[in-house]
Amino acid sequence: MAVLDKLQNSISFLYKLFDIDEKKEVSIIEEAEEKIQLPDEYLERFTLYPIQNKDFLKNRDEELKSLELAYENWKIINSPLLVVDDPGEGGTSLLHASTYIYPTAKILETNQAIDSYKKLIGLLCNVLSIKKDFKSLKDLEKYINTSDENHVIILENIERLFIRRIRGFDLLEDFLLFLHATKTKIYWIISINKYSFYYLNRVKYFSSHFPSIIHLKPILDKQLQAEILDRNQGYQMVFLKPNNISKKIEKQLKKATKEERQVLLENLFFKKMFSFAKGNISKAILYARNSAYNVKDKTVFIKPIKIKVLDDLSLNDLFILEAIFQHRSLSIKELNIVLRNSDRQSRLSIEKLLEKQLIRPTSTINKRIEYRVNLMYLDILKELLRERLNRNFR
Amino acid sequence: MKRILNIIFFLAAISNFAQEKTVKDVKNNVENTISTATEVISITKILTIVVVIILTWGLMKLLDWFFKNLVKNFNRHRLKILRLQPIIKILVWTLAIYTLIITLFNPSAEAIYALMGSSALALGFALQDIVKNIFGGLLIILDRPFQIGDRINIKGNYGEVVNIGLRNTIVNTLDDNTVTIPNSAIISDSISNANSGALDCMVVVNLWLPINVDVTQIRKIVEEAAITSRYLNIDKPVTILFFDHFDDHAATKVVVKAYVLDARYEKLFEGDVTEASKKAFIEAGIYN
Repeated sequence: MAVLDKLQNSISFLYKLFDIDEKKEVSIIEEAEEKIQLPDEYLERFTLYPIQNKDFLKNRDEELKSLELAYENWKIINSPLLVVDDPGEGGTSLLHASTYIYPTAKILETNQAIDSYKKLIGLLCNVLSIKKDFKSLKDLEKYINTSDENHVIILENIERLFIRRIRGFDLLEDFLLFLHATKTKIYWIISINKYSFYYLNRVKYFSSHFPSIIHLKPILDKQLQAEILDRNQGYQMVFLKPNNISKKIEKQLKKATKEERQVLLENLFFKKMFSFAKGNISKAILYARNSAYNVKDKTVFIKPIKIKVLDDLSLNDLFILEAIFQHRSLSIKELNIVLRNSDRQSRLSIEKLLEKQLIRPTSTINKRIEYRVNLMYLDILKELLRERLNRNFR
Repeated sequence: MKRILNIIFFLAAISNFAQEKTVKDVKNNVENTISTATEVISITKILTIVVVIILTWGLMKLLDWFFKNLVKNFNRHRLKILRLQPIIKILVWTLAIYTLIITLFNPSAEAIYALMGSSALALGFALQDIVKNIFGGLLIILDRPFQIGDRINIKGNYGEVVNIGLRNTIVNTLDDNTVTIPNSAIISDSISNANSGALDCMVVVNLWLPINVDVTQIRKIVEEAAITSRYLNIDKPVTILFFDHFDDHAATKVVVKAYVLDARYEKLFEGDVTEASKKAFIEAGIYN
């Protein structure tokens, strides 16, 4: 089987190298593999949710120390803090768990686009527990600066304050002015998606507003392994042979005893997981969950999954994925605005990307559907953005 | 009388002998020529020529395929890859010609020098234009005023260089016409190169507006039209310039200078920025 696959891959590579069209459309439609439904009790162990307490936060001691130091610095020089993270790296967990440093901190989660001054003022008043109406950010700024109270506000995903269009940066720029004007009274901790940071930095010199910036570091492979083993506690893990395997490993497996075979397959699984996750905890969890092949009684069978290669993406698809990634998530209406596309054009493209599972829909508080890049394809997308759109982003 | 007859017989005998010798010489000469000819034009040699030509042609096609696919799969390094293409092609041709000369004539060093001297003289007169083009091609490859993939303007033809051959350079213009320009004409003319080997290139977008516009408002609109374009190379700066014109009608000329992420999207970027700016100008009532 593996040899056949290799042969097929080699032929495909040769076709690609010499630009010969593979007659894929005439091939027989393959039977879809039936998915084995895993028990909810097991799947729940792999749910992605932010950690709220420092005691449960692992592998982020260095970042927590930086947060403590940044708070001490604010007391002296009143500088706001920016935390830059990739989706799934655990930025939200870090910020939530860091509230032991500033127990009165208020968290402003912006999991929906903030596209008007009214909405922003409303959210800020709500988080500051101010029961007054303000017509502009300037009025709110005056009110805050005349009060005696100091605040700590954690504003997540600041990229939701802009939209890539003409006059789409006004709200963000005015908010930055507001942030500078109130920084003696409010300790601002802002988080931003790495790709939005790259874009805003280039076009609006975003980082110059923040003297203190924390970039989240990738988690060590050993720590990722411990995390996955921890989530499988209570289950006996049986590692299965992946579909694509090298001849060398195939030989080693044939020679090995049953126990040695399991050790080899376990190492192989984790090696594949590390190379996929690249220190991103959420990606490691997703990989482990998708690799769980079957659960019987208290035994889980794990077979490393194969990640799809995305070589048939059109330039338009890439521009859409880039726009979504730049804003963390976008609705179809917003996508029309950003890419200057018609509604029909955007819908068709979105359907195509959903079919390929490159994006996934999420629903916001006001029941609006937005689309996000599927974490499973994040690194492939980054590589494509570099290779095909020449973006100097790492 | 007897003496005269003797002389006649003597002359006849000499003539007969001479004729016999000439025939023999001619025969020998012909035999020699035929044997030399068969040595020079043997079936093995003809086959060698055919095989070398077919192999060279096949290799050229293979190289074209190979480079085309490398470019497709490694778009980011497109121009670096394309830079190698003409050099490798010339090397292949040189190798093929060398193989043919060695196989057919196996010349001595002296013969090569003599051949080079005489052929230089002959080529100088007979193939003056072709030689000029070939040397032009070599100069372009060595001096590199432009490379494959560059956007150049030569003799009023603006477009992407798609091939640098030994005799001609082929430029694909923006309206998809293929223009073949002799290399000799290129080296004697001035060339403007928009990207000089880089993947991106600067695009200048000109917008015309009424003379009495609010430049601060226009600057914001135009700058944001550029920075929000999907085709922009965000790693390079965007410059906005204003000029007043009083030729036929008084007008403000707005010049947007920005880099496009790939020279191939030059016109798409220009169109995108113009379209977005125009819509915003209408919304802001600037044309009113």
